[in-house]
Amino acid sequence: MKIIRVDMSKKSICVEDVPREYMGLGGRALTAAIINKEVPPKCDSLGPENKLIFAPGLLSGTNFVNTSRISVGTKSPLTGTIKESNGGGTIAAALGHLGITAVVVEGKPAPGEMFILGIDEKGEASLIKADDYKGMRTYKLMEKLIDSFGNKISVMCIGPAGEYLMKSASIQTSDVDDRPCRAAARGGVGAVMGAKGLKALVVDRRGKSADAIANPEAFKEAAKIFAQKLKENPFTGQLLGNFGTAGILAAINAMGAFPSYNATKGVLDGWENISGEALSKVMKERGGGPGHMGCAQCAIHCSNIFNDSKGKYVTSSLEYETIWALGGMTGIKDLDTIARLDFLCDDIGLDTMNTGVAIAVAMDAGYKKFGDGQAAIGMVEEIASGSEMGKILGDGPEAVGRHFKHHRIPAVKGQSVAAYDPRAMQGLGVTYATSTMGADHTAGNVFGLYMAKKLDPLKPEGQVAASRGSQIAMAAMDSIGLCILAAVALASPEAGAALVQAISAKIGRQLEGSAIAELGVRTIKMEKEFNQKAGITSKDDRLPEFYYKEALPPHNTVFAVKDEELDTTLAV
Amino acid sequence: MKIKVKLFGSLTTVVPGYLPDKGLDVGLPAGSRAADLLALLGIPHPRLATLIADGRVLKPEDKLSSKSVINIFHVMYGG
Repeated sequence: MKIIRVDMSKKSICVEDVPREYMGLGGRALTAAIINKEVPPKCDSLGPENKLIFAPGLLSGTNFVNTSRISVGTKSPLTGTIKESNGGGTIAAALGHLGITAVVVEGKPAPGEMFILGIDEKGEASLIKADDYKGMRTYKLMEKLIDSFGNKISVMCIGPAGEYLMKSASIQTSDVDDRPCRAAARGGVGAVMGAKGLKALVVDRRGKSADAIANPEAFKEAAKIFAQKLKENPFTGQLLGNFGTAGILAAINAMGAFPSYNATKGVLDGWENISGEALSKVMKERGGGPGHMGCAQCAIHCSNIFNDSKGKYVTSSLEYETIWALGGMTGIKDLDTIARLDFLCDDIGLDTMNTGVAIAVAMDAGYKKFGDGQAAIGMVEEIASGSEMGKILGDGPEAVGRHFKHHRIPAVKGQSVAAYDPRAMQGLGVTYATSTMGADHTAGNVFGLYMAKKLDPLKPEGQVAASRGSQIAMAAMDSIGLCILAAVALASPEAGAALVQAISAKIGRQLEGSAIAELGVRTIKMEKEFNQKAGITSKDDRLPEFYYKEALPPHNTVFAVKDEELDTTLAV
Repeated sequence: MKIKVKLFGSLTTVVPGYLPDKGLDVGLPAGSRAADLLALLGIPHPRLATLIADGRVLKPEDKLSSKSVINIFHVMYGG
């Protein structure tokens, strides 16, 4: 249990034992605690006082399934709030195998300086000059890093967008096939990494100094039960492996909640061309396919590989939210074009969602026509060029809306919404508005409650409580390091008990069943405290005006949860 | 009454020879409910199935209309 602290101003590295106040925390809970204590809330997010934290989850590096999730924490240049951007791949497991609880990067180097932070198989960290890698896109960078460091590495890196300090810049992370195609995408965390002069974090995967598990037998038994429950659930055991996350597209479209043409329609004409079923069929025909394992320790295999018509690799993994942002929102209904856009975003180091919605706002404002795939590709390449228009697009939908003086900007606190329209799924609107980090579906997604017939998505009643419950649970999952898709298994009481048992067995202290919710509440409280000190108020916890005024077809509803109810959501 | 049914995800393999483009034409007694359709089709884990018609999620006791296309999914979650 150690924290590696890297000062980019002094180019110094120190290793410390985890301080008592951070003991027992991992992932999002740990990043929230460090930021809340150590980062001045009103600091410039791209300045030396901000910190960038890489923290694997509590269970990352163990053999508990689906726990290779990493939390990247910082003050966001996009939202002005605290941020935890969550990514998959292999690096969380790699850090866990080295017994590294967090890597904290602070300070700022002289302009133009750029480094790689390497951590070898013994856990020794060093800064290496990265002049040769400046401006490099992520796929080429990954090849070069393997040439230099060998092929047993996990990487988190930025592309040109991060170096330009763009607010949609992601941090890309390598998957099990050494492709930089997973991402901690949201909140402009890539810009913070760029401001720190850090091109890449490279971690050796061969570490053998993981923190000891206090009760290995109890842990093993709990892990086995959880994995079994995951397999038994039709969603995690069958659907995700066969269709990927895009398998939910048809259902959301059928519910009239698939935001299309920059959120002017809730049903996309021609949705069949980009559905999970269509995607699965095309991929299988071309020799790629669904059922790909993207992250270490994954038992779900929701990832996929999309090849072109000649069988040549285009991208991995084509996800529901990406298909929506780069497809539904832009009116592009061609999987080949969407896949190309996804690859470009990964290669340039961009959040596909913020970028897709930025393009959609530009199209809605008349800059280009909806459905024009070549124009969309041109706009993403424009971002990579760093031109004036590219910088506007790369800063996300609010920057684009301001530039074109366009009112319909589907974003909260600067961050784009996700693929569930809040007028047809009111609870998602509550989450977008009140999450501690801008519009973020992963902060508290209640879509499953609608599918399970437990809540009417169109009525405001019950949505605040549903969002609150989901936000608390997700904060806990992000802290444990459990993939939120795997959290579906928690619908089974046995799986819930197994998760508590596994954490207890790891830390050597028997936890109550309420421990998971308490972890979520504690995390959100720390995040809220930081935001309040940063000047965020309840007035910021609102959806854009058009969601209250422009009815969404086909239900022709508006967002109807009252402000005073919204303000109770995270009164935890 | 005749009802048009569309199956999604893993449910497309439940009915042999199912063609996604065409869907199914299912005959049911007038007044049949959502649960009756699931039973007739032999949908596995019916408790975990969701029927959506006209943009609305149906409850097991909801009556079916021959004017609607019934879309059937397994319960799914957003990630």
